[in-house]
Order: sequence, then C-alpha cells, then structure tokens
Amino acid sequence: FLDLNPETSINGASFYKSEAEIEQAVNGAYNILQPLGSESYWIFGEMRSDNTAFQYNTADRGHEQWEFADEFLVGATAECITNLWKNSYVGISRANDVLDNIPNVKSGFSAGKQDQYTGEAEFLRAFHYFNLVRQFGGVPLREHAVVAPGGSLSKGRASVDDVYARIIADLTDAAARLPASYTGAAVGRATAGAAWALLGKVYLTRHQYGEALTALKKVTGYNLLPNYADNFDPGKKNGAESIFEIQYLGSQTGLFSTFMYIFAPYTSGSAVTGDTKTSINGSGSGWNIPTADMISAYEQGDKRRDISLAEGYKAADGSFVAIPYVKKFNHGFTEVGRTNDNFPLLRYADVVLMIAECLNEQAFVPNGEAFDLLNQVRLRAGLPQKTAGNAVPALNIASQEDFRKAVYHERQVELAFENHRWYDLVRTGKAVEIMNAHGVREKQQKNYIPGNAYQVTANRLLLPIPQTDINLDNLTQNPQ
Amino acid sequence: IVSDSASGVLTGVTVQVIGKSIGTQTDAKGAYTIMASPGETLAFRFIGYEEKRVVVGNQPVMNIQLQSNTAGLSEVVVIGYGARQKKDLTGAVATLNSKQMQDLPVAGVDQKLTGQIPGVQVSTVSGTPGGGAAIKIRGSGSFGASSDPLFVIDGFPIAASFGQQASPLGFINPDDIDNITILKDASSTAIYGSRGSNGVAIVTTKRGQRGKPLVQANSYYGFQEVPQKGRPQMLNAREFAQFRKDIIVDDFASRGQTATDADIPAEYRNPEQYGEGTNWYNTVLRKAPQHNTTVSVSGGSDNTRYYFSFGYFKQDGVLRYTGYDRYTVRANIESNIGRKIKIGLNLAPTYHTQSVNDFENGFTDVLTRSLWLSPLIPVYDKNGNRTPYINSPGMFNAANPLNSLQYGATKIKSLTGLATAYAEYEVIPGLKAKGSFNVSYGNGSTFVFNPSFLGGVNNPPPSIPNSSQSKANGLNWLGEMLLTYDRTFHKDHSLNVVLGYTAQKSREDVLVINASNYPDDLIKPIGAAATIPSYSQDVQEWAILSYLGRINYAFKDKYLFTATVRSDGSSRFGYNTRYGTFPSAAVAWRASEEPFLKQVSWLSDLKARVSYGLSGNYNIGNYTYMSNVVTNNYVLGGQIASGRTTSSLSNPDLTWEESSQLDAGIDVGILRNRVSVTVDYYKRITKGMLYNSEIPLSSGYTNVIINAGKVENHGLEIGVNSENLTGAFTWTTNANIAFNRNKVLALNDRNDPIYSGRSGEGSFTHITEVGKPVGLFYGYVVEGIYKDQADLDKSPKHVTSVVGSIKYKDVDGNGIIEPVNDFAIIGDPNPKFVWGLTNNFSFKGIDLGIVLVGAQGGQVLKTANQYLQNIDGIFNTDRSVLNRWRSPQNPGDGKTPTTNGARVIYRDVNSSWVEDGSFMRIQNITLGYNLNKQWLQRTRFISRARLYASVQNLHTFTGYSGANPEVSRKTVSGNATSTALTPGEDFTNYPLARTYTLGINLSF
Repeated sequence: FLDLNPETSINGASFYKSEAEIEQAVNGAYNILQPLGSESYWIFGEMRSDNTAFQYNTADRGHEQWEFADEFLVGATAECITNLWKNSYVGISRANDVLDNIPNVKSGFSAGKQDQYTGEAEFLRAFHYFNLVRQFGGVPLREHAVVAPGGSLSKGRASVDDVYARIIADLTDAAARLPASYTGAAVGRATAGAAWALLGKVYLTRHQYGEALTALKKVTGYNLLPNYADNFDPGKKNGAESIFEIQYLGSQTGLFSTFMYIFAPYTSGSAVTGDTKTSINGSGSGWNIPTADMISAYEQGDKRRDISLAEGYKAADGSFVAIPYVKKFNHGFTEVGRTNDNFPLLRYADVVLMIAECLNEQAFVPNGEAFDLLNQVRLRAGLPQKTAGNAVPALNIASQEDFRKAVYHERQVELAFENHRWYDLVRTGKAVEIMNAHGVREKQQKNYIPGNAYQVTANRLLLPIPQTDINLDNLTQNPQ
Repeated sequence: IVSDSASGVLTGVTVQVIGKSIGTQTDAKGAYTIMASPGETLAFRFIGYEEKRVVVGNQPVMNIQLQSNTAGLSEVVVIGYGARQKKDLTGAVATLNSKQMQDLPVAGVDQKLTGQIPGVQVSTVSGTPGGGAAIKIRGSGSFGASSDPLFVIDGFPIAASFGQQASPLGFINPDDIDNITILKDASSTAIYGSRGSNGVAIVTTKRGQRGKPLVQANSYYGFQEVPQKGRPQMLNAREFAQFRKDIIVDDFASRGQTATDADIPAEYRNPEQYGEGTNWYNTVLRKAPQHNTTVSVSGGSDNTRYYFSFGYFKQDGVLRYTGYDRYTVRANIESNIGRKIKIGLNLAPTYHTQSVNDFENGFTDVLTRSLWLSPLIPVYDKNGNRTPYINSPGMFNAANPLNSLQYGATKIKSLTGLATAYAEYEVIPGLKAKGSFNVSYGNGSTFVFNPSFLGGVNNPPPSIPNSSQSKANGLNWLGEMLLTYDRTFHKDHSLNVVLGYTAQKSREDVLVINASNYPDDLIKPIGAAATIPSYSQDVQEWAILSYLGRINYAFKDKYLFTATVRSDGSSRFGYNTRYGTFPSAAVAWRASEEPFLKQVSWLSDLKARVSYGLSGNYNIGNYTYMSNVVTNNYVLGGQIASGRTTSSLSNPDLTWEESSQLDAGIDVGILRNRVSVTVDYYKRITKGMLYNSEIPLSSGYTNVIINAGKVENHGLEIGVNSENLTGAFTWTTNANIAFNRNKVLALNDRNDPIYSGRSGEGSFTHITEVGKPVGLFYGYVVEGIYKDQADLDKSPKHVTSVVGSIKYKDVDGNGIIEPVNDFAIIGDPNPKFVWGLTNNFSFKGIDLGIVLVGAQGGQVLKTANQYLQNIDGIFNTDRSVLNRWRSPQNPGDGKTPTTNGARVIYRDVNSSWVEDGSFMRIQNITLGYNLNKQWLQRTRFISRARLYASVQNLHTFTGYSGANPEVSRKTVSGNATSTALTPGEDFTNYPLARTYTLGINLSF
C-alpha cells in the first residue's frame, strides 16, 4: 500500500540493469553537449578570444555578464560561468553513471557493445575534464557518480597534473575500445578517431609533441572535404572531415539548435535569419560578433571568409548595416525559431594543422611534411602555398618561428568560430600579449567598453570557480 | 415562548421531553406547545445557544430564555476524531462559529479567519477572484516543505496547499460551514501525526436539527474597486519622452560630447507634444460586481436530520476580463436506525469556472506589463479600435494588455465532489464503533488560446495561433474505523477513549497538451491545430496508513489528563524511515472548581493547561526520496536517440520533519463568563527540516532533499472575549494579539547559510542563518551615490560604476562591488506582533460590526523595483527617476542615480527596496438591521429578515509605498511550493479590492 513508484519516471534503483538501459544512459550523457554547445562553449572558447565580441545594446542590459566574459570583467557569481561548470559536471556525472553501472548488467552485452559504451563514456568524461582544466585549472575529480547526499562534497581541487592523468587514461582506454566508425542510427557517436584526436590535442596542450604526434597519426579514415562550406551544411552532416560534432535536430522540440539567431545582430529583424516569425531581441541576439581583428586576419582571396562571416546585412529599407556576424551556422530554419545546424567539435583540418604544428616543434624541416599539411588547408581555401624561400614575403616561411606563426594564423581563420581560438592562444602562450593588444584596439573603436576591460594578466587566463562551489565545497578560488 | 438574552424570540428551537420521543419546535413567534407531565424534564436546544433543561411544574406556560453559547463552557468543540466540551479541553484550541463569519464578502473560508484567532495569521496576498489566502499558525516551522495547516473537512483531511490563484478551500461554500476549530498545540495536533505540525483547521459543516423545515436564504450584491492609494506611480507620456531624451543627452555629456537631434529617436525629440498619455495600469482595472446567494433547508424528524443547500457565488475581477463563478450543492443527512445505529451521508459537489491570466509570474506577465508599457501609445487608435501592439523605439514591446486579458485568458473549469458515508453502532452503552468512507473526486481543465493578432513580448503579431491546455483528475479516498468509549465511573472518574485505524490514498493524473499552427483564430479545439509540439502527462500518488489512540481522563471535573498517540506510515518517505510515531500528553487543572475558589464570585472559570507532544510535516511532494531516471534524448544518425539520465539523488533516509511543542495556557472566565481570557505560551522546535539543500555543482546535481536543521518558534497569544454591555444595547469585543519569535538553531552539517530567492539579475534575495529568523532579506547596502570623480576614485566600485551611479557598501572589503559577495542582511519580514480586533454592537434591531486587523514591525522587500527601477529606458519607470542625479551641480535627491552607468546593479536587490510593512486595516464594517418581527408576521411566511451593508477592506493605514503590505510571491522551491524561505516579497500581485455590499438574510 505504501510502496508507490512514480509512473512518469523510473526509480533509479531499478535502472541501469540491461544493455538497452546502458545504451539509453550513454545517449543521455551525450545530451548535455547540446546546452553546453548552445551557450558555454562559444562564450568561453570564442567570444573571450580576439575573434569575436558582441553587439552593444544600450537599451537592454539584460545579459551584461556575457559582455563581462568577453571583456575580462566576469566574476565568480556570473551565471554563464556557473553554467559551464555545472553542465560539464552533469556530463561527467552521467558518464560516471554509465561506467559505474556497466558491471551491474548481469545479462551481459552483445559483441563489442560493452567496450563501445565504456569507451564513449570515457571519451565524454575526458572531454568535459579537458574543458574544465583548461578554463579553471585543477578542479575536483569525480571518478564515480554521486548516489546519495553523503557523497555530494568533493575531495577538493585536484592538481592540474592529476586531472590530465585522468583525461589521458580515459582517452587511451577509450581509443582502444571504440570502433573506427558507425553506420546508420549510430552515426555521431564517439569513434576511436575522436579519442585519438582529442588525446593528441591534450598532449599538444601539454607541449608533449611526440606523444601528440603518435596519437594524431592514428586519426585515420578522414580527409579534407574539397569544399570548405560543406563542413557546416546541415544537409551534409557528419561528413568525411567530421571527427566529432554536437548533433542537433531542427524538427524536434528540445533537440534543435539556434546558433543563427544568437549570432545575428539584434537589430537585424529577419534580414539575417529570414525568419519573420521569430523576433530577435537585445538579450537573445547580437552575440559572437566578429571583431575587426578577426575580419582583417583573412588574406585576400580566402574563400573561407565569406563562408564564415558577413560584414553586415541589408536592412528592410535596403540600406547596408555594417554590423558583422558569424555566417558559418546560418543555413535557414527548419521550423520557426529552430535550426538544424550541428556544431563541429573536432574536425580533420584541426588534426592536420596539429600534426603540422607537432612536426615543426620537433624539428623545422623547410618544405617538409609540415609544409605539405599546412598547404593542404591553404589550397582548399583558394590561397597560395606558403613555402621556405618563397619570393613573396608574406608567403615565405624562413624559420621554425615563422612556421609557428603561420600555423597559428591558419588555425585562426580555418577554425574561426569553432571555439578553438581561446584555447590556442592560451596553450601557445600568446594570450596575454594578443588579448591586451586586442583590447587596446577594441577600446579605440568602441567607446562603450569600460576602462578596466581587457586587463589580461596570467591569472585571468583562468576563470574564477563558481561562487556556489567555493561556498558549498570549500574550494580555493583562482586569484584574479 | 422561547427567547434569547436580548429578548428576541427564537424560531426553530427544538423542544423535547427527555426520555420520550415527544418533541416540537418553536414557531415564528417563538411559541411552542408540547404535551408533558409535571416532573418530566424539557430540553431546549438551538444552534448557537446552550442547551437548557427545565423540569415541568404545574404551570401551563413556560417562558424560556436561552443563553448564547459563544462564551459558554458547555459548548461542544470539535477536535480531531471526536468532540469535547470546552471546559474539558486540555489543549490550545480555538473556534469560530458561522455567526462570526457571516457578513464577510469573500470567496473562501480561509479569508474569513482573518484577524479572528490569536496565533493564526491569515494574509490576503492576492486579489485574484477565487484566490486564496496564506495561513500560518504559530509562525513558520519549515524551510522547504509547505507550512500550510492541515484542513480537515467533516473528518476528511484534505491535501490542499496554498495557492494565490486558487483557494485550497474554494470548493466549500462558506455559508455551509457551522464552525471551524483551530488546533494549535501538539496535544491537539499529534492525533494528526505526520501532518499536524503546521496546525490543523477542522471545518464542520451545518447539520439539520429535529423540527419543522427551516428555510434560510442569504444573499448579497456588491461591487469592488481598487483603492487609489498604493497604485504604482509611473511616468506619464511627457515625462517619459523627456526621460528617454535625457538618457541620451546625459550619455553624450558624460563622454564630453553633445547629443544632436539625430541621436534622439523622433518620438522622444519633443516631449512637450505629449500630455498624460496612457496609464496602462488604470486602463486594465475596473469596478467589478460581486454576488453571492445561498439557500438552505434544514430540519429533521425523530430519526432523521437533514441539511440541504445550494449556493451561487460570482466575483468579477477588478482586473478586466478576470472572474470567478461557483456553484455549490450540499446535502448532509443523518438517520437513526433503531436505537443503536446511526448512519449518515454528506454529499457536496462544487463546480467553478475561473478566468485568469498570467499574473504574479515575472516581469512579462500582463499585470506587470501594464506598468512598464510605453505611455506614449494611446489605448485606442484614431478609428476607435484598440491599438493592437504597444511599441515605442528602444522599448520592450508587447500586446495591448486589454487584448491579452480579453483574448489570451486562461479558462479554468473544475468540478469537485466531496462525499462521506458513515455508520455508527453503539456496541454497549458508552462504546461506539464508527466506520466511515470519504471520497474527494476532482476533475479540472484549463485552456488558453493565443490568437494570431496578440503577439508576444518583443514579438509583434501576427504570431502563430497556439493553445495550451491541461486536464487533471484526482481521486482521494479515506477509510476510517473508530472505537470510542465514553463513561463516567463512580461519579468522579470520567473516561473517554478513542482508538482508530485509517488509510488514505490519493492519485492525481494531469495531461498537458500544447497545440500550434492553427490555420486561423476561429476554431480552437486542438483538432484544428496542425501540430502538437509538446504534450506530457504526470501522475502523482501518495498513501498514508495510520493507527491512532487517545485517552481523556477527568477526575472530579477538576484534574484533566489527555494522552494521544498516532503512528503513520507514509509513501512519501524513504524505505528506512517509513513509519513514525507521534505521542503527546496534556494536563489541565480547573482551579475554579476547587472549594477555595468557588467562593470567589466574580471568577467563573480558571483553568491552567500544559501540554507537550510531537507532530510532523509531510508536505514534500511524492517520490522525492528515490532517485528519478528521466528522459533526456539525443540525436544520432539524424534521428532521435532515446536517452535516459538520473535527475535526482536518492535519499532512503528521508523522513518527515518533526516538531516538538510545549504549550502552557490559562483560560479565565470572569463575571459569569462575560469576560473570558485565554493566554498561551508555546515553544515549538522543529528538527530534521525537509529542505532542498544546495550541494556542490561538481556532484552533477544542484540540490537534494534532506532532513537538516532545527528551528524554534516561541510566542505568546492572548485572546479576549468580552460582553461589555448587555441589555438593550449590547457591545461585545473580541481582541487577540500574538507575538511569535522565530529562530534558526541549526542548519546543515557545517551550518552554512541557506540562500534563497532570485532577483531579476539572478542574485539571491533571502538568507537563512543560524541564530536568526528564517528568510531575512539579503542584498546590497545602499550608501548613496558617487558624488563626484573624487568620491568615485576613492570608493570601492563595480566595474560599471560611474560618477552619479549608485554607491553600495563594500561588505567583503576587497575594494570591488560585486553581487552576492557584497550582500548583507538588509531586513526582516517577521512582524513583532499581529493583532485582530472585532467589535459588535447591537441596539434593538440594529447591529454594527467592525473588524480591524494589523501587524507591527515586519518589513517588505519590494522586488517590483527590479523593473520599476529599471532605468535602461526599455520600460516605463517609477517617478523617483525624476529626481535622479544628472550632474554634480544637479545631484537630485541623493538616492536616485544617473542613467550613465551601473544600471544593472541599481536594479538588483538592495536596501532601498526594504520598507516598513506595519499596517492597520479596517477589514470589515457591517451595519445590519433586523426587520420588525411584528411587521414580518404579517407576511405569514418570513420569520426573520435582516438587511445589511458592509465594506470589506475599507482602508489600510500603512507607511508602505505599495498597495498591500501583506504580500508574498509565488515561489517554487524544489518539489514543494513554499514561500517559507522567501517571505515578504512584493512583486506586483493582483490588487486587493475594496468591496461594498448590500445583503439580506431571510429565514422562513
């Protein structure tokens, strides 16, 4: 009489018991990538860098904290920081639920499935920890799911090295367990290639070029698409260049993306989106706006520029409004207010450029393999090759340092608006210098930027830990 | 002739010869005729009067005067699972009878309790037609669980919770209520076990009396209006255009530039062209009628007693296009079968419809919108049509609120049926067995259709027509077996024992369907919609299984003992802690029965009482102790991939919060009970508070429901009933006052404070700390404004601070002003005391009643300022901006900052929002006139007629700037809807109306 179980949800005590339930739990673990991709990743991966800013709205100050994130003024109580932290840990918790419960499946798994689900969960856990350690430094390590109130406190912040050790262990194991590819209704899951690519990026971030190269070389079965734009076309999702991307579905409530609306100037009405039924307003649009620095980074004739951004839009009265916006994820809407665009997290062009970078760090070989890789990317963009001894000064790479600059630059334009720029600035040690210089230029052009904005110091390369966890979990705060 | 103390004749008094089945009733003149022999005893019984027994002598005519029993000690008081005479009570119990509630023109019985009983704080927080009041008995003893008292209707505990749009007792016609008993102390509430700790309100409906049918009709008609005092004062059109212009001028000036006409939108360039413009708030309000009629028939034969009634209540809202209609029917029948068996049946179906809108939600709700919409736009365009969409440059835009109210209303329909059947069998003299079965069935639906021409906030029409509806049905049943033994031994020992077993179960099933893409606005049922974008179903069940027992023992009517115990098993709690036992005990000493006090002639009653016991609070929602796995899908291979995730942590140890309460009280009756005084001191400690605790986000969860913390409420309650004048001119006074002090003794393991509430900027608004009362206001501390550059340079500041912007205190002393880290306690919503004062006067046929209520010392947090003081220019604004800082030479009132910067932190929670909420309200004044009886006799069928006029909510004396200091905002915390942690917020509630009524009471 008193044992009543809910009918609209499942009592957790009786779930995670079969292969089908584990698969659902894995799918649920992927789900958190959608909200992270819709907000946190671009705010802290792209807008915080020199690539993008925001369209200032004097009237509606509703999302001031997002502006502060861009301007290095953001504090520990900002909701956008809390969301990044919270959702990353939700992802970790869901991955832990899978890993902790796989041994409880008494009926066993069909061939390869146990490895696959284990590998997917490990991949996702490593992915979240990698984002956290790069944004916050050492963070609490949760290696098992919390199941009762007693376990809610962590053991405090782990060291950066310990977090990386966990990431590397997870990715190494995942790479061994995951299949190389999927078909049909499984496309979009993490592959062995995704694990190797991410592991390579981890080692690169740690400046372990040899290990990075070994991992990256195992990313096989992918190639650069002839047409750069195809990478972002919702009609050509998960193509040959795609290693891992956040999957969205425009037709489905709760599963669609909205990047086109968020990134459109808030003054543009339906001119940029083509959707007359969805109003664009101050707090919901006008974000991730390309900066002058970004626009000028493209070389003359770079095909990627017009695919990636527009310098303005034509208003309803026919006049041109010079507010640039990100066009990479603008492919119209499926239903009012919903788009079908996926968001790339790992792309083969990224791997190609990482390999080139590793090779160059190991040894500068004029016109060697690293040059070939760099130029593969450039040729597709319709640009001339950069070579050692090139007569055109801008295309000449004379030294290891020249090659570094060339590959960093190529990454900026090739991977623009894909949330790599901030991490590249930090791992290459350029962030303080570039962001301060960028801040000076921004302030000259935009009189609304507060005087204390863009005062970037080494401390400010890490975000403050959310105040709630400082209070509830007694964590030490990052000095700002 | 039978008459009352004021010499008015009484009609319908039952007269019976004791021990015989001979009986009659008095007629319209109060006369009766009965066959009785000398030596036999006649009993005279009448509702609201003490029973009188007179031995028949030889006289042919016996004129009897009955005493009204409002202050009578032999009055029978309904308590949990039984009834006791008032003199035998050992607990803190207060009652209110129908007469005390009769003239108040309100929809629900909860509002009728206002100001009547010490320690029962009834706050009318919203004026929504059909809306409810917030009731708190002896302070707030809870954090996360609801602190509403348990309502028991004719023995049936109803799972109702406080709702601002729907009264939990809306399905009962207040005219059908005979009396309400409030159980306050643990010895009275422990019999309700895990549900008793917030106090219990026992509602008893009217029964028939033996005699000829008595037909009564009550009806009133009136209208309501919103008082001018307290309406928000916004800028008019000219002032607003000037304000918008000045923002731009000041902005340029602050950067050393001069704004030109081209920089200012054309609409704001010439403010002089505008006059008052539109006051949207006044536009959406109206005078609205209110009406109530109840007709009842009651009576009975020797073996059967009945009460039938029909009621119709209609309240149009003072907010246009809102309203409430209710039809109630009640049938109470009780019959004796032989001498040993009694059976009864109560049926009470209620149907109501309500038309509401999205009020009290957020800054885009239709009521809040009527404050910030552009005053520049006229209500009607040149052609006399309503302006469909209100839009000025750089402002938030929305539909004309009149259109939203008229075409975007939510229609609620609800049918509730309450039924009780019972049978009682007298096994041996004194021992009765009673079985009862109660059912409450509810069926409700809501429907809202958003037509294409309305448009949303910043989303101009045409929009896609869509609808949203819900269908709910609920079934709650209760089965009970009670054994009662009532016996007096050897004259001096009287014993009353109750043993019971009860089982109760509730199931609610709610279906929600959102339909969209209607081709047009003509056909609204979902069949016309092209798509159903979302739908959901929720099923909630709970069950309780209980054993209960009580012993009352009295020795010589002087020494009284009560012991109760209840054992509850509840589905809502964890496997490990599913059953709980709640004992209590009480003793009372009727000192006035002692020989040495019997001689004191002026002292008619003196009783001292002490009680102690445990009770619980189970208001936590269902299934909260288990971890829940919910659906969270993903996309794989271009299609939906079914996903499941754990959404909440399990807590198998979760159990009720437990209150232990000590109560010591004295009842004093003076001058033959003309003055009676009740004083109670209580101390209640609630531990293991059901609380939705925040946990580190790195756990993957935000909160978990735990039992933690300890809160103490202690206080003093004084109630005085006094018949100041008797005779031709009567004057009675009922005064009560209650002092409650609330203190947190412990919280969680580390005693970290609990932060609660969210301001419009996402900051906390309340804090609960050990050693302080629950739910203190929490925010920035205003220090003024930055006077000049030097002041700004040397002061701590926020990143957006500029000269002339708001200056807050640097609480953490780090030189930087930032949200939450620089918050401090800025106010306390708890009043020092609350009081009620009712005076009734009567002279000949005229009666006058005045009800005053008040609270002293509590503060209000005016969270409405988060949009009223939004100086971005996107909203119309509070008139305080007229005195803002413009330049060092023109610093304004020193409180209102410049528009040049720091606008976001200015509209975040701060100490300027805190105001004194002390008030005194003239709750009700009623003037009645009883029509001359001799004149009525000529009509031959009307036996009594009373006409009255009343004003409800005549005036509130308060220094508070808003309309209603008794506010609270609808807040949902975790699984429980509770305002315990976020009290005293004034966001913009449905305004409280002043109601004028004319009414008539007729008896036939």
